[in-house]
Amino acid sequence: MEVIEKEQEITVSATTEQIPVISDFIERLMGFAGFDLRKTMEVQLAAEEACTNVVRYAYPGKDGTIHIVARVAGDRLELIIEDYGVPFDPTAYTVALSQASTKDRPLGGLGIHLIRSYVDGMSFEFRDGKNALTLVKNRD
Amino acid sequence: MEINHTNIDNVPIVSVSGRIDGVTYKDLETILNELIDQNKSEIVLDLEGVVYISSVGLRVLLAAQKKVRPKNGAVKLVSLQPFVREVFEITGIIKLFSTYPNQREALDGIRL
Repeated sequence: MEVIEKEQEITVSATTEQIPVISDFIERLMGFAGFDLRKTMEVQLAAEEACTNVVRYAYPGKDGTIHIVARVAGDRLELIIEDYGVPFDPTAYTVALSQASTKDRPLGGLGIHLIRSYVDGMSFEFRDGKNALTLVKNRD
Repeated sequence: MEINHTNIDNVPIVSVSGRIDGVTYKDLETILNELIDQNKSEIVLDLEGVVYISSVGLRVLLAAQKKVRPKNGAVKLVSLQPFVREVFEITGIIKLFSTYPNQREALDGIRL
């Protein structure tokens, strides 16, 4: 069985304008690793939602960066999204979308709900002033 | 992302293609707000060419729907592609919109 090992990193400023740069980075890497377009879009969506949270809330009133490490080992992609902003653990944030009426739905939870929906695993660590959200996607 | 806007029987048809993401959503928001400011309450939004939408895009459509509802209007979604439809479904937002397989059926719904 062919095992592809690859690791790539990218650092961008924590601004909305960099979201397409992150999406392109993911598309190139996942294409190289043999993920299909659908799974690639799912990871792009999860990453966009996670990075949008960083852009909006991590660095209030100041500039900051987002650092992404992407690792592919075998059929598993690991995407680690890091920032040095306000500590925030998305994995601790649960939204009962189904229980909220459609009128009063907490819109703030949409992004995290989408992340959960489109990755096979997620974990979070805050250490040495750094938020690190790991998203996992399996190829098959 | 590309947006084209036409009118059929005075009903605006907004056709979008590409990705509705954290950057491009602003263009869609602008055109929808312009139409709403012109008192258009029925808006047909053709998403046949849209392959990707994130939560910021969903919020733009929800905001537009919220603005036209009190005028007995609606944003009608046409030709949702599989991934986009799934995003609408997973978030439950699909329940807030009527969806149509093509523009003609969306317009028929308005005439009724």
